[in-house]
Amino acid sequence: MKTTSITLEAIEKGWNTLRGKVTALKKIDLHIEKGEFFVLLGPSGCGKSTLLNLIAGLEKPTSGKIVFGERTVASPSDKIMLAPFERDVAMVFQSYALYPHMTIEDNLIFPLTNLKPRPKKSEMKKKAHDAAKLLQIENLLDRKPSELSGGQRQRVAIGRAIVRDPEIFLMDEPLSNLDAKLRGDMRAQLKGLQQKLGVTTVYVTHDQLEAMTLGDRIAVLNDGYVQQLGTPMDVFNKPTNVFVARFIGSPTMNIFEGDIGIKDGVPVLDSPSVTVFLPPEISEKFHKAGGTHFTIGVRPEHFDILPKGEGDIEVKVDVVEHIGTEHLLYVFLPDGNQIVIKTTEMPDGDEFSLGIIPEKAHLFDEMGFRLG
Amino acid sequence: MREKNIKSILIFAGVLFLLAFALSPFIWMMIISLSDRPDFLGNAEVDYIFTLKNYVEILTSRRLHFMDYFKNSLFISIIVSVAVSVIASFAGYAVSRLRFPGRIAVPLFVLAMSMFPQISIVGYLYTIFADLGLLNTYIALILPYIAWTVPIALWINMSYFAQIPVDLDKAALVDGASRTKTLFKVILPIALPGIFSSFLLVFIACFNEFLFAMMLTTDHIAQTIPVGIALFRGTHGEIPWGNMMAASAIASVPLVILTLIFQKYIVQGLSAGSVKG
Repeated sequence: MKTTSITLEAIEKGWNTLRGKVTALKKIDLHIEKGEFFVLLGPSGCGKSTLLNLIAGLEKPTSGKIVFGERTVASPSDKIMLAPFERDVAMVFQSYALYPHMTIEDNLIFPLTNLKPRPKKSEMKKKAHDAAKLLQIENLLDRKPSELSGGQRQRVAIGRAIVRDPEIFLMDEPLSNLDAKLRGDMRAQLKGLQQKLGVTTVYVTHDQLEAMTLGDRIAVLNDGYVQQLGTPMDVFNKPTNVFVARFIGSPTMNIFEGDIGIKDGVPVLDSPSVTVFLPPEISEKFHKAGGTHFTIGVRPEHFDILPKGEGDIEVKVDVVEHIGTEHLLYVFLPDGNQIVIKTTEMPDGDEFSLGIIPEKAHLFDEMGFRLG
Repeated sequence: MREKNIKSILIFAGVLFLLAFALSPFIWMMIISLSDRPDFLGNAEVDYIFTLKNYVEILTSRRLHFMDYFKNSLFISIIVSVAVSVIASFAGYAVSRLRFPGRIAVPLFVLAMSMFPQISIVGYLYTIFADLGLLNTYIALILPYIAWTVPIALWINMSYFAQIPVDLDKAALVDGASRTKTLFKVILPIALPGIFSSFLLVFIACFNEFLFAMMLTTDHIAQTIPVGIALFRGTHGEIPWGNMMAASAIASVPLVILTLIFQKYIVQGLSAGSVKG
């Protein structure tokens, strides 16, 4: 199968609405490698679907340039705007968008009927059958979409994208409408398929688990900007700001924000809910950075569980969730707010304290950006 | 248990009553049409002789022009239905999928226009067509009928097209279909039930329309069935109830058949868009 790289230069997209100007994408610069499984991750409304539509050619950027390999496919300033079909992209939609009045076979053949010159009927049928075989839906070819289950429809949608032999796959939250177990199975299948075919894939999702498991690289978007670009391990271990830190990882990272000070001769961070005693390494980093307002982020699984009084944060247990090999503890802070701890060993008693492991803590300055 | 039975009986009785109420004019019409000495307001049992002569007469008598009226009604209704279906389906597609100024204003305006009672404009229509020398022609009815039925057809089509997911258009576009091909190969086949519903409603409305037909046509060249039947004259100037009832019976056959076969679409058309999904 063919493949190509994608470059987005200074992409901006905005609209004029009745309520004034709305800017969905503010300044996006991205380069996606050939054959890469690239994930656009972000909460609803962050602009990721808009970005996908721009790559597909369903929408025109307000300014900027989109280049596939050596070909400029969109550039308002140069008056270039190629239609989706001319860009050689195929798209899988969240709602699958199968043609309800056609059989599955006709659904798969439809993209081929638009090729110029139009291939022979037998050729088109063969391509459709090959794609169906790859996705194990051969037995469904003469049915209509309404007779299929969600998972089957999704595979037909993927088949319709494959049959075109495009240079780029675009997927807009294709697994969102499936139940949890099916989602897990399809995730693995999708990853395997993409590796086998080697086609550049841009995948949009709001599910950080999907992003982490599927992506070669992830671009975390929020508010029209790329917040961070990196491998799954990059964004998990070294989030560049508080937003990315809280978005990646489940349960969410615990955040303590406040001013540094001294209490009982020991450096602390005075957050509204709790006074956090700072390990020396962390307080040193804060002093080096300068300023007084900082944020500490600790993942639920990165606390030390210590007896009462010996740690940096005093807590009291509220609810415990047992999820197989691990336990999720929802604990109260002194002022009544809650944080989450993940551990494999249950602590004794209801009240204990948490120790912050300096290497595992994430430190952010007053603007929310990563320190050091 | 007893309560349930009584309730069923009452409901059954109520339905029977409503049926009788709705069907009795029709049944009376059939009785009169098959009577040798039809007296619309008299006692049908008195000297009732069963005969088919009324039917024979209207089908064969040139003087009564029944077949002319039938032909006119059919022709006009079909032309109008086809024209309105084309106009309304394209409009439905445009309003649900394209961004253009007036997208909301135009349908609302059309709706507002449709609220003018026919009687308030029929005088002006008469003057216009008289000045154009077009009275008593097919055009004199086709044009006003199109204007009169487009609002309802437009709204049925708009709400039906709005229910077709826009993702389908996008998918077709990415699959390489031009806008025209998307419209004809993807969207229209899916919208067919909605278009068909509006076609039927328009056809029925035109077939039954009386006021415009009455005012804008004068004789069998362009008159439609409702007017034609109403103006039937007997050989001695009397009102030929038998013939009128026979003609009404025959005229209602196409409508009854259409409605019975396609009642699903008619109901669908009337309730399209009322509930989501």
